Amino acid sequence: MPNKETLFENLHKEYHPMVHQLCLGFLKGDNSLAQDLTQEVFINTWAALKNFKGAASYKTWIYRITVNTCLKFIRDAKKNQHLPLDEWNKTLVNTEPKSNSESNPYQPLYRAIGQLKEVDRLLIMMVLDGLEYGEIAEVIGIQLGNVRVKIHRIKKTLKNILQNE
Amino acid sequence: MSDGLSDLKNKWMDAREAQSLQMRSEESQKLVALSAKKLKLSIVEHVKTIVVLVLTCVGITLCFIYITPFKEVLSQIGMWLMQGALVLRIAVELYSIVLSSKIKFTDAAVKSNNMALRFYQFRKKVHGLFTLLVVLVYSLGFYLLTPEFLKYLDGTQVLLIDLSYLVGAVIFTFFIRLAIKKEMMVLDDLKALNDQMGEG
Repeated sequence: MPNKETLFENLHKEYHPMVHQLCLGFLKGDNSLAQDLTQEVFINTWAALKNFKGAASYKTWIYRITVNTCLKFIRDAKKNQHLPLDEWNKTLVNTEPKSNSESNPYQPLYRAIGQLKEVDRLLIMMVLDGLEYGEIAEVIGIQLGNVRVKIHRIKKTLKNILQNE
Repeated sequence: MSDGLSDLKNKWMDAREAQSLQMRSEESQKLVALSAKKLKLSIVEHVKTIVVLVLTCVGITLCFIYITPFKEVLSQIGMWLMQGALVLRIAVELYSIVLSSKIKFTDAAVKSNNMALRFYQFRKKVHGLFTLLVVLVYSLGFYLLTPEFLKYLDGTQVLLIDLSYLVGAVIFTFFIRLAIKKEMMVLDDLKALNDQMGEG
């Protein structure tokens, strides 16, 4: 059994790209904010590591931390700026750096995902990551049937967004 | 759509590959250090209100015992009302910490959101009628000290003390209103997220 530091180092190494991309998609491709958010996820991971019981896999566990940290990040950011959620989302689009948008060929994908509602963004990114619906249900804490219905609807919405891009 | 989705999945994985190459991965040791720092800050954030309240409570108790030992029954009632209001406020802050500690990042999103919702609903109650009641009881206690003050100080001094207390109470109310506004915004968002997670 590795000690806490070694385990954290391994988890960080293995899941950093996954967490960073989820943060990037959640924040509409804003790389600077995504880096802060990724850091926040791993700080929360370190803090929670001593309580890891092994009831879920590390992957599902880190997804849960990522999802909850993303949702809290938006809450904190808008609380500090005194903006309602919709307004904050608009701010995020307007402050998106042009150079970032032009140099990153995947920016339209992040932008399209960013047009979805917060929870829908996280759901579709887990699908794109190849998570089983059962695992997604476990991360969000909803029924499997509900996950299917939601994802079906999100796919349709995302398809429309991408067609209109 | 399944073809569309597999295209999207491929693009998503390509994007990960591309960003992994240019990504600056922080050292895990740096994150561990940051985590310890953040934990300390979060403890300070949690206990600072309690520390201020406890210090105020201890301060006025010492003041009542050693500096201005009130003799009259009315003043004694005033003293108890002030201390009681502070103790009640401390108890509520402590319960608030218990509730906030139940919001866990490792829970499923719905559960974590529900715990946060519970916490902010409690804060809403605390910042509403309860705080108003505590301020009123504390203020009543304070003004009950006035008759005995008048025995030792002249009228102008007592008037200045009473007026400055009033100014303090107004400023306090202003900050409470700001806090309520912020927390109500969070509460609305949590409800919206709950709806998003629940809807099919």
